[in-house]
Amino acid sequence: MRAQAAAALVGWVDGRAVSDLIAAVGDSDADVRRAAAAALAYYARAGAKVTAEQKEKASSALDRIFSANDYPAIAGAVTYFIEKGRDGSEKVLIAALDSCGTEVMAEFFLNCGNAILAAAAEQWAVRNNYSVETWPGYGSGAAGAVWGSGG
Amino acid sequence: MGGQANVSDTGKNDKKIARQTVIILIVVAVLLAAKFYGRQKDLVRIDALSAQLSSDSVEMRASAVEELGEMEESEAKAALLTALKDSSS
Repeated sequence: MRAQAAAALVGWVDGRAVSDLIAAVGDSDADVRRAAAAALAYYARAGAKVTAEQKEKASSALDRIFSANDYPAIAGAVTYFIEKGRDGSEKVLIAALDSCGTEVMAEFFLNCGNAILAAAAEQWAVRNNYSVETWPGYGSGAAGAVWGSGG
Repeated sequence: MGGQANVSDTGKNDKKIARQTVIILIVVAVLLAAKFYGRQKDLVRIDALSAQLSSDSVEMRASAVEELGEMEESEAKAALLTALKDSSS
């Protein structure tokens, strides 16, 4: 039920929710952490209509889950980490994909403009019996987050 | 004679414009009232679902979360924060 509530909060940006979402990314249930991180990513991304303090709190909470290698939560906020595009962060992102990846997450990797993540996503797709199709002019962030675009 | 006809036409046009304005105002008023009524109805429902989140029954709470999750109103999302903190679920 907490996971369902967190999932319903994804995309809703309101300052009242920040502290509750930060608490939820520390939940014992992986589904709650994943959904809460996905919701929190909206606060931390560039252009979010929140105060600088709320944005900083959200970013710090997401950075903590990254440092803790919390793969379900990292998977939830994967667009945030792709947009951050930190050098060397690919290893943890790939581990998150291997641990609890989804088709959508693999597509983010394929189209984000980072060759290492794209290669990992192709391998993940083969292992999980998905086929990867490529269209000319499609890619490099055409569908989702762009590597390093969020500073 | 032509001048008199013109005066009469102007009067008709004024009445027509006035009638159209009244119709438009009525339509706008009806739409606003419907929107207001719909919002009030949603708020009453959100209040009821928020109260349901405190129910002893897990099924009742889950049902409230599901319905609140389908609503777009900010009040519904705020109510979901209560469910997010529900450590018994």
